[in-house]
Amino acid sequence: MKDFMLVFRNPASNQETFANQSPEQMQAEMALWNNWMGKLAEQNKLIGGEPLHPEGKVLHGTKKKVTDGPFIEGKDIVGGYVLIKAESLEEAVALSKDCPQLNSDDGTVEVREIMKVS
Amino acid sequence: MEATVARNRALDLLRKKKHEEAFVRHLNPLLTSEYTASLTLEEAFKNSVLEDEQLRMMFSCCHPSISEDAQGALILKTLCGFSVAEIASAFLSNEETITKRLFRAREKLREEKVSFEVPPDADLTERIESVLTAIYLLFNEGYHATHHSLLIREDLVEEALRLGYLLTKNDRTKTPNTLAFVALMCFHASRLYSRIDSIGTFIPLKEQDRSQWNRELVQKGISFLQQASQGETVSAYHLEAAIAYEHCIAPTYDSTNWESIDHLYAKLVQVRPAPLITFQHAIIKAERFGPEAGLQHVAPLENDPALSNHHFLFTAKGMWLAQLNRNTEARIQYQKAIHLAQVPSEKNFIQSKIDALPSL
Repeated sequence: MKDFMLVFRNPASNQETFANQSPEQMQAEMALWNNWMGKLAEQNKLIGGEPLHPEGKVLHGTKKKVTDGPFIEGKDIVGGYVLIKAESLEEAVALSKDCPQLNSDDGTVEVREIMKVS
Repeated sequence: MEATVARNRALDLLRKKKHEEAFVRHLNPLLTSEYTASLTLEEAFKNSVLEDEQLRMMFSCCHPSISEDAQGALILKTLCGFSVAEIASAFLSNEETITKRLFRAREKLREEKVSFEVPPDADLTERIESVLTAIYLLFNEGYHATHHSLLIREDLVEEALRLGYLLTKNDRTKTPNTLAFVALMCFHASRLYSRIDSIGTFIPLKEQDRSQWNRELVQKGISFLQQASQGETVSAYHLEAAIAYEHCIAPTYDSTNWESIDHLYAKLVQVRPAPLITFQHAIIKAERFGPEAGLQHVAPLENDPALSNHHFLFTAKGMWLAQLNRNTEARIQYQKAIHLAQVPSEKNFIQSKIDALPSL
């Protein structure tokens, strides 16, 4: 069994729409996530994961320059991540197909295997 | 349709129960992720027909690491399926405060790695106490708080009763204390609908229509009180239940066994000394020996900070003084009372007393 990180990216505008939902909409949205992650958990394939606030700061290189981030005009930003277990990259992709992140056309799920550095 | 859903859910839970460890292990990542924490808590338990699960949940909600006001909110949310708006209205609070309160409580559950189980024997007595306190808070919120619409009050009272019944169905949680507590709730609840008239004025015990009292609940209360009294334990709940019992079985106000209630209050003040109980005792003294005895009994409470912000001490004094025809003094007490009264039903009641005084 390998570990994978699913990185969720959205256009910044989507992120804001998400944050400004009514409590009912938010609840409905969370039900979708609960459903998807609940299924992973039942198969013991869920490790964890969190949604992220759209605001943040970015530190740059050796000068450690700090800029407001992560906004770059028109680019996608990371909205959250989930860690799962799967036998293979193919299985991890298959498990990601039902992710609510993909309910919007410009949402993406990037599937990356976690590198074991031993 | 709903029955099928409920049944399947019950089956699911049963299957999981067979693999207790797996059940908890699979919930863990869901409880620790913000994506799923809140719904997982709710969904796993709110519609569950498995009483066992609810019982365990009750103890988790009342974990000592969670503040008392948050315990009630957490119970309503996870065990009674109340919305945040309903909880806010039950606690006279706003949705933001309740959301924060629930959030912090869930956080605590996580931090303290609270296990979802009925506590071990060593902690059981103490933990049951905090569960009873939390349920009693909910019950009183529904029973005494006249600011609510009848609907919310009914819901709160019914849910508190339901959770109480649940505790009496499990051998480990069915302690004499629990039984006495549930008996007390039954007796009080039997009078719920006769305490307020159609325009929301509070009706005192003396004027309530006793034919409207719920006899079925009274019988239930009696049966719980009998079971509670089989051991040696005499807790405050036993005494309170016994007092409520005396009121419930009296065919009329005047035939109430004041002597017995007087003795029960004397014991209750010893077990749970509190100005409010002394005040209630004074009312019984007044019934038994006349208004002067009442006035005498409340004299030491005059400046007690626990009572001076509430109307009832002054309302009672006004009524006793009026009975003694000391009408000017009565008016002064009523006026103090009406300033302190919080809700229309109470203000209406006191105003009606002022109106009944002979005009100046």
